[in-house]
Amino acid sequence: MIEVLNTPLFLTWEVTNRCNLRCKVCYNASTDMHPSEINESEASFIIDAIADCKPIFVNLTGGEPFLRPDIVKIAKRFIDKGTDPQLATNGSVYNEEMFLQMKSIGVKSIQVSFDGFEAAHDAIRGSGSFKRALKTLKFLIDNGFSAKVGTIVTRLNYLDIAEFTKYFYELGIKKLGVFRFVPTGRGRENQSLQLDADDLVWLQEKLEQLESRYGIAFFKCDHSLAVFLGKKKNAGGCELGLKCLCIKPNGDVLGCPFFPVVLGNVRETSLVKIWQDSPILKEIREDIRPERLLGKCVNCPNGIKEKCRGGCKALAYETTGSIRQPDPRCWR
Amino acid sequence: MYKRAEVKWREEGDGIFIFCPVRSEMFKLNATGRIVWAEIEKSLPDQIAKIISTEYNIDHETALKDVGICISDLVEKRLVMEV
Repeated sequence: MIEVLNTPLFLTWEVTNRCNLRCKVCYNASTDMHPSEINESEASFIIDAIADCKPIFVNLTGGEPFLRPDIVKIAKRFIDKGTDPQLATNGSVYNEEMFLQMKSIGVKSIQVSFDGFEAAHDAIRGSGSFKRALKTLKFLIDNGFSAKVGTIVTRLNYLDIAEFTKYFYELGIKKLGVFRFVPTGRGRENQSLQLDADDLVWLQEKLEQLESRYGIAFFKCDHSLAVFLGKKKNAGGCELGLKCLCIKPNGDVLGCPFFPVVLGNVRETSLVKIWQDSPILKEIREDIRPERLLGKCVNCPNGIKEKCRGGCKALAYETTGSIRQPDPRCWR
Repeated sequence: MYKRAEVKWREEGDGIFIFCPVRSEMFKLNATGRIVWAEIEKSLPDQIAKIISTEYNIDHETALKDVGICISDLVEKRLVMEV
């Protein structure tokens, strides 16, 4: 039976669509501000709506959140509300004053994206972006932030994962996020960067060895590598409809950043009401039940199906139009 | 015992979700675990067992055993630390 929580546990807020980079893997195709982006006067309302959900994890991202002039005020209001937000940045907006303001108001966790070493990273994110991100990361580490590294694994970087881990471990990073490339948004134009099923299994096993060797904590999107169960305990499947919501720059609410179906808009309907009453969410929760899954999931043991839920629902939807179909990269 | 500073939690129904942002792992405790989590920093196992025993009308020995298992689990999952 699918357990439905009273409110989402994890919330992502894409505070802006504006970005100074044009990453090939961007699921949002972020460029300029959204024409009806949540403005500064509305931001408090959004923060309060998120706080009402009592989430245990809030991720502020974009676009590039540090391009938003009021990002420090946004972060401060979250902290005043008793929620510690994490910021996810591409690291190329280097602003020491802003970083130190974040520190002074109590922001602890900032994640900087690195899609491999310099050649691979710059091939994805643009020339010079690796150096700028590294400068940002070092500043954050030196100034006592709980800095994390986030990496999107693609054909350009996955084989370097051991050296990559060692490099950042030696810099002082204790948390490394490994995210699967989900080719939506601008990523649709770069599908060849995706890893195939065998590569993902190899990667999962490699991460477990590296975790053991360095004691570094790997965290992964639930729809990601942890889908390949039996390799890591406490791994869970896709959390669409079950634990997370995403607020887009214009207030649209999605079940997950990669899943394009709009559930409502936070300007019009409370997040709690969307979570509890959205007919689309109800349908999603119905469709991800093990007995409703199709394709190769039909013959998969119940013990796995119940946790895996057919893998990444965004990818299943992107490739087949149905969340009942399996993840196209399922290794079974 | 004390809860690790980075751990976050939320009560849900009669259970509790505990999230470790360091490892991005989530755990769910049942109603017994919820009581253990609520009391772990201020009460000894024996005292926690007494609360559970009263709450659920079970014998103290069974409750104490459950508390011990729960605490060991929380330590193993690195959600709490021994003083």
